[in-house]
Amino acid sequence: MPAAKQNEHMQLMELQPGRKAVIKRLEGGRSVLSRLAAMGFTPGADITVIRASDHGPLLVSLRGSRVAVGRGEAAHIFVSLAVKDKAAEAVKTNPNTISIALTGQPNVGKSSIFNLLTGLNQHVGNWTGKTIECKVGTFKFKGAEFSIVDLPGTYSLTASSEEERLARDYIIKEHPDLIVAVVNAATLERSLYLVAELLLLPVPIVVALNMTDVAEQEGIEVEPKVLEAALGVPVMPMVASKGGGLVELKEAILRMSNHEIPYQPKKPLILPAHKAVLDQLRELIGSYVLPSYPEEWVALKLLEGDEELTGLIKSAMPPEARENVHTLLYQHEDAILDIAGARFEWVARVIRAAVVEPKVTRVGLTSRLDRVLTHPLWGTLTLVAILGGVFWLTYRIGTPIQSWLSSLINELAQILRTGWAQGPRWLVEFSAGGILGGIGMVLTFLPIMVIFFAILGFMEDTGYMARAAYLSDRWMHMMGLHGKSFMPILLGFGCNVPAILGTRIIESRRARLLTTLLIPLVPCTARMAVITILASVFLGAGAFWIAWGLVGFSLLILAGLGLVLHHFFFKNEHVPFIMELPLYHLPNFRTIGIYVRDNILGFLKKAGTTILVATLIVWALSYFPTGDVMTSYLGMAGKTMEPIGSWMGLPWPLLVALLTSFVAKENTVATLSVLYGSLDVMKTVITPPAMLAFLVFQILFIPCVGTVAAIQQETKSWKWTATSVGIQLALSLGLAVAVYQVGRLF
Amino acid sequence: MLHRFLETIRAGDVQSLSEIARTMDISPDMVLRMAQELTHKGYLQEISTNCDEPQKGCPDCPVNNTCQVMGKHWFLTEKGRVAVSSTATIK
Repeated sequence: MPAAKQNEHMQLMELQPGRKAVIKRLEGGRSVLSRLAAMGFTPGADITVIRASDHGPLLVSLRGSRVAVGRGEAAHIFVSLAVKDKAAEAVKTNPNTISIALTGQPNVGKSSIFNLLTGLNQHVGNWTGKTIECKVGTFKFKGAEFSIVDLPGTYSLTASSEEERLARDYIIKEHPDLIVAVVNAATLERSLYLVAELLLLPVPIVVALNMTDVAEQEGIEVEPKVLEAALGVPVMPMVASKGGGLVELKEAILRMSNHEIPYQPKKPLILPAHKAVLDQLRELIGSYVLPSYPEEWVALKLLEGDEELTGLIKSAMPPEARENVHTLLYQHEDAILDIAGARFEWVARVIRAAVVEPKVTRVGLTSRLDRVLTHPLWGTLTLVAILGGVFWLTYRIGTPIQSWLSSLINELAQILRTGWAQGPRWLVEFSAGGILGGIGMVLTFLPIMVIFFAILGFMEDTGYMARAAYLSDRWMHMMGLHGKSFMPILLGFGCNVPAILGTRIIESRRARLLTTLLIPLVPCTARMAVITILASVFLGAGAFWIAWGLVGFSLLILAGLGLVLHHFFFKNEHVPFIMELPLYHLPNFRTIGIYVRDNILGFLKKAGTTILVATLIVWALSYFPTGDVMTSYLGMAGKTMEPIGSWMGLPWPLLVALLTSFVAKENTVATLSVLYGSLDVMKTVITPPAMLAFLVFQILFIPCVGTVAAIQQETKSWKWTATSVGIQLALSLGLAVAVYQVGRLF
Repeated sequence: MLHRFLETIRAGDVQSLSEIARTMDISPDMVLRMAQELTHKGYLQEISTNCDEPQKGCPDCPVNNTCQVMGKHWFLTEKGRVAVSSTATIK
């Protein structure tokens, strides 16, 4: 190694406590080197001196452990400052250089300000041992020289992320002369929490109020002078993207560095009750706090439950003192609520003083709309009306198109039968009845589904769907369904499979099980699509009332069962919660298009695989061995179910169709098309009460095989899976019979 | 303020962030920030309904791209409930 390079290395004993370094070489005899290597002292390893005194061993942090190393052994270890420190040192060659740390949240324009200040005089590297970028640079202003470090973007200094830890460690250990805190004028409230934390550190601050142009565009008025008075630190308005406010910022930095501006920060207050605890804590930890750490700040952070600092302090203490600190912290475990709470209060006060929000904002608009749309009564009425509107529009526009496509398919099937009369009969029937009559008929409902999903997509994209979920939450709460059961239940409106998987969020096995039993009663989109289709076939113009009523009916059943289960199982379990509702916004038609496309592609994929296979099996069973459906295998099997069907006035093909829906809900439509040739034929074979009974049976019938598999997977019990299927079967059959029998009376 | 926030959550069954913001006369943004802080400290539990990983049945699910419709929820944890009860007792 060149002598010059070797000279850059220092002995471990010379390293200042708290400074991070890298072991460069070890010197000494073989036995010393082996001993050091066995302890983990090898070239390239990061090392930090935690405690050093004139006598006795050095306490160092090495490879994530604390190691005590004798002074004799330490003399054999040579280190150099870590890259970050070297960079910082490099920019501070002149002892009169003023060091600055640039802090702020991500996306507040911190990098723009750094680039504006340093120009080309910057160096980009990584923080030692990290992949996080570290930028250091220099600039001169009015003869003074400044070095500046761009710290990683952070929301606070709680050390909950690597970025926060790096930013905080730098300020504490390197102790810059000044902090420039960059805040976003358009989202000042979000930025100020970090400022509240920075004010507690013993480093003066200048606030760079960036993006004032964005705030102005959004109608937000920020008064820099009022903000300055509220914070007690200089506030410099800036538009960094256009270079605005740079000279003023430099001026403020210079004047603060020369102590020309009095520094009187107005820090968040600490409750008198906690002040005494804080003093007590300071006394206990005083002699164990690392030299570079401000004692009061460490005590405050311990009270806030800062895990890193608590670990650091406790490991430096003898067991007895550690126990005392532990007891004190345990007694005041909830002090965080007051300390952090005071910080939030401070932010709110500053905002009230210095910011004037526009009268009409998206937040304000959302808030006003939500007063109606999430109101228990008006919101529910709106939801009911919107749901009705969805079905009305779907039928109004979709049904005529579906009827036209349906007659087209029938004509095509007829052309196939007459044009291919000489071909093998089974093949002709397979093509005309199986393929065209089954899958083809299912595809005629695509327009209805496109409209249905387009409306749902519209509601979701504007932010209304979250309100619908929120209102449902409220009602379910009122019906006694407390706790985390709602969320999976609400997910079930999309698809029961993720809803069942979603029950994992419920800790109690009993509550999880009961929620699992309720989910199959939630009408998923596939069930709703089938109901939408069948209602239009059975009832024509009145379909939308029926489809709408059926969804409401199934929710009533769900609520009733939920009420019963709550009464017997969920008693006294009350888990209040809050939820985030997105802001309302104008719909993006591309997003809606993607939503419709994804759903339709999903449906087509199912139609081309599961539904196709099931349809062909149904066709084969209904054709062979005689070529006549009534004397086919399916006909023979179906007739055995006729006694059950008679309770609801349903001929066996409808029961068979229902059974095939176990594979996929949409199979009902395909099977009925195969068995009846055309869905319209059904109107001539069953009475209106039987139609209604069938729709009730369909919407409450056992879930699809995917859901049943998910229930088995989650409960890991065939007994509970069978119970779920059993409840569903009993409910659907019982209610369908009741509907038919009552319907016959009129 | 955080005590009040926890009390407000406990007082209702289901509330939206903006409702809490209205009750406390602060912005929804600050409510969100407080919820995050309390989640970090264990007083609230945040639950998101998005599908973290594909499960059996997910590929065929018609809403496999739109599972997040419910948004984020925060539940009061046992620690949160104890903290609110102790405040109530002190009062």
